[in-house]
Amino acid sequence: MTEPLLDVRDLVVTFASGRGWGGDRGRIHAVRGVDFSVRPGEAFALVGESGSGKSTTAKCVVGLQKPTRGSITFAGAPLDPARDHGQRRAIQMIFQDPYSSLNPRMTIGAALIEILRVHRLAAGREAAERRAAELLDLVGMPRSALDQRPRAFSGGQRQRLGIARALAVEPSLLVADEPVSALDVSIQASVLLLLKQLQRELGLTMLFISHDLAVVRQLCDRVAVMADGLIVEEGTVGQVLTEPSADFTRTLLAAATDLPPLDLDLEHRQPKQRSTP
Amino acid sequence: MTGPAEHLLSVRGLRLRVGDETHDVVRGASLHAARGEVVGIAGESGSGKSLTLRAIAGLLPTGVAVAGGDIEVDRVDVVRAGPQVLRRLRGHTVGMVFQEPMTALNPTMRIGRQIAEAAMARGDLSRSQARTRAVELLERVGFPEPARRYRQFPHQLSGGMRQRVVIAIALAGNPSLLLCDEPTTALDATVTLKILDLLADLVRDLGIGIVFVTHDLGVAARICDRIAVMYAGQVVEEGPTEQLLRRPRHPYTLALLRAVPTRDRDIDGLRAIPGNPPQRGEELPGCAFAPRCEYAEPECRSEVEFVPIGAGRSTACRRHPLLAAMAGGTS
Repeated sequence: MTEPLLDVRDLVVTFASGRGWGGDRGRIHAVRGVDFSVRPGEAFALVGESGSGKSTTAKCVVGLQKPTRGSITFAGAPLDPARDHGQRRAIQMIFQDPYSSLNPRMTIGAALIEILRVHRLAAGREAAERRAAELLDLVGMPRSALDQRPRAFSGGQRQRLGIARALAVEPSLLVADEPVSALDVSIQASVLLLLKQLQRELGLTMLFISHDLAVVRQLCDRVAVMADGLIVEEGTVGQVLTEPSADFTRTLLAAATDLPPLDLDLEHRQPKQRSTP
Repeated sequence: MTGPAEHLLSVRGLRLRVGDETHDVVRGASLHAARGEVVGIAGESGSGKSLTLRAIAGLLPTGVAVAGGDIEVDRVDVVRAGPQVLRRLRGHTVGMVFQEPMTALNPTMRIGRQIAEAAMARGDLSRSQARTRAVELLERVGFPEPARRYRQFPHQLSGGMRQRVVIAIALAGNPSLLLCDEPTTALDATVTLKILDLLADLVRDLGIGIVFVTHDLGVAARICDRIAVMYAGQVVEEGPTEQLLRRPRHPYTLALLRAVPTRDRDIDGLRAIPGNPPQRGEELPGCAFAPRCEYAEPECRSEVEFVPIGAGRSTACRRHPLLAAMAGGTS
């Protein structure tokens, strides 16, 4: 078995719930002891409803949230809250809301070039510009986007740009927090297809956060189902979707609003006029 | 078939225009709903589905006006009605449920009182009668111990329970038509299911009609008897839910269905819709979907007509016989 790229052990995150007008000052146990590991090249999903702790877990992995307890090991080394430059670069994140994850005042080109230069990934301005253009090719955006600001783009295009931004520093782990749930159906499909293509072409390792089992089915190899800060079930996506072992997974599956199967012959083409007697 | 007299709601050729722009954002939407029926309006953002719903309640945002067509709700001509008639319509005939329950509720008022106020707006209940009615409504929408829960504030409730309060307020005036705009979009899947069950119960028990706007075809499949699919300000296809979703007769409906990730299909079965929806103000001669449509012919760029094709279905696609042939000719 290969060494895991990411290994999370006994992760606990507790928040002080603040002083409400009601007066009681409790603690919220957002994550209550979570263990999982992600192997290189694998797409691993954390699935759950709101308040299950899936996003808090992801934030701990990226370093946006300090764990109360537990350990996170990345590529064999412990990930402390104070991360070194290389560790920060190695784990990148794409967010649910593509509108707020891009700097509105910078052109796309300027933003990408800044990232490349800060991380010393391009020798000189020209090389950085070349690499920025390649990144746009990679996510299926026209190179003319380099001179435009985020507001010029639709939600799906902004999500592509967010992916380009994350990939600019050549991360070894991409954390995606509900990357398609704010997008329209037709746009959602194109972003899912892009992520799949990147997985296949770059061998990207992904930690995917979602509430939607159907979306997880499209992209992920393994899945952990979370409820109330705990993982209630873990397995391959096929296993969990078809033979769930936890009651909560069964509830989640029963609540999924599925479409009836299409009853159309999509290969059917209108017969050529001359060929029909 | 239901005759026009049985129609609770009838929208014909509705056109909506923003300000003094020269183009319409809703460009001829037609749909109808009867009592005891849930009719879905499905579409992506910018399709005009929410504006159409608001027009039905006479609640268009400032700057948007009806530029043509008719809306009739329970024999009231909504387009030509004055403010008093519209206020009466919203108090008595039509109830509304929106996406975000927290913004629809007053955070500083006990939930029971908010429902009681809505019940009193009708003008025929005393304060104590309205209170009794509010408790009944809380029970009706699924609150155990309604008399105790009457005194709670919105912030003490979960998202699903808040949405139940909004539904209770919408029901307070005894409406015959409930207009729902993405009522479950902000809710978890397990909660969504319970709200959909509640709405279905209300239709069955109270005999009301519901118009249900959603971007989620899976949710529409679960609750709607019929679905109208909107694209670029037009209803492009309408029909009974199961037939429409299994054997669509408009390429846009088909394209949407193939773009939805499902649990029984892996990513190789997923198809993105090429291109982008038309920009606001773009000239759209003929079918607005034609530039993105794999079945389009040159004629599609010049003519489009929303026509009945039998079995209670209508489509705006000239090429619907091809889609019928793909389904083996069955309806």
